[in-house]
Amino acid sequence: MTRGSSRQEAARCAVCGEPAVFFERQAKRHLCGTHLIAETEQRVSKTVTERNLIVPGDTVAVGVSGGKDSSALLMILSRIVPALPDVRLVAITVDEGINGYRENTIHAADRLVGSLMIEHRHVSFTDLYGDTLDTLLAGQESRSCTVCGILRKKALADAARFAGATKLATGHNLDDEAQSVLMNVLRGDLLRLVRDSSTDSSGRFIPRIKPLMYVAEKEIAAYLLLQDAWQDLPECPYAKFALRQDARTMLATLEYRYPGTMVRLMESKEAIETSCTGEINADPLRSCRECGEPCSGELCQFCQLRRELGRSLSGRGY
Amino acid sequence: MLHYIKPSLTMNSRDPVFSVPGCLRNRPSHILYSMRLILPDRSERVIATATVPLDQLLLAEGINPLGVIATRDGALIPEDAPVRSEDVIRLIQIAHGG
Repeated sequence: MTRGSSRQEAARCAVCGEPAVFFERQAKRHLCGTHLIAETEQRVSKTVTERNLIVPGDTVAVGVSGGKDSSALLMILSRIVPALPDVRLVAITVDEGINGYRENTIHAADRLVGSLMIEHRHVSFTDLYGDTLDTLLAGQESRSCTVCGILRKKALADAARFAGATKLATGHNLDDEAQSVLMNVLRGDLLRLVRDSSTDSSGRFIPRIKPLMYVAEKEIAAYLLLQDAWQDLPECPYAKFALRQDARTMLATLEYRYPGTMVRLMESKEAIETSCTGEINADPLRSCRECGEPCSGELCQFCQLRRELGRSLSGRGY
Repeated sequence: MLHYIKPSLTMNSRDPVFSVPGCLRNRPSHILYSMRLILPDRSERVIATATVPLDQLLLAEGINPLGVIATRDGALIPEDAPVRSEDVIRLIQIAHGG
């Protein structure tokens, strides 16, 4: 049933006629639970296949925080990967040390990964960098997402490398990706807007893939709830400091008024990427002069952060 | 007296798009009922309303329907489902940072 036919009767699934549980605003159609789950998994499978995100022989490290996005990602990959020859999944959970928040999500991650019988590795900021995020951020909370993002990205990349992974999958969804596009535009950061980290011709870093990039956040929540996999977890205490929060509110408002806004934003980004191929003078990949990791400038983000925080950021490692 | 703490996903209620819809604003007095809306922060709001699409009710409360999923009697319902008197609608916030 379409939206305008009758607002007083319960809607039916556009595929099978069963009672609907979800309304796809852009397609203007309703879906039942069975078809919402099936279509979500099919869309992820199509993204993986069409973009060659996972190829035979890959070992895919999946960043699993225990939150909704990474949980859905692991569940979906565990269902579609068996159809791909010789592909292995490894779950990686990073404990940043956020008191009153991360403990809950880690327990959720442990339960999920255990139920799927997937290899699970844990790393912590304390082990890798010598302290918790809470301690590292003392007095600098307004920079929380920047600091956490850099440290978590490195922790995941190092753990993936240690696990022998050839791809690193993260749970970024359509909303996250559209927000990133908007934020890069607002910052005037064209290089970051068109940067593609899903492939690596240099062989110097593990390509990062985002199989949920065309699945909306609301669909992911519904997908989990329908399978009794939704965890009512607390919000990250640092989220209020993020520019992303403003981008999220702005885009959600636009998406409600003009369904399809987020998808069109992603399509615009891809069109810019295509038309900019070879035109933008991106810095060639260099080596950080302090740690040797690949980066675009003299120093990598991690070493820059080390200087800014005035700390060695060294722990006892793995 | 109900205390209502606006969750972080609320929208600007001064925005004309999110003003109270006509079906709620101009309801006849004889079809006033009350339903319970359980917000993401677990606070409750009792709302007098006739049968109305859920998304219109959420907009009237300053909540973007895209920021929540809703259940009735434990079952997921679409954002445009008609909600009636005596319904208990639980909202779950879907956007968590981190």
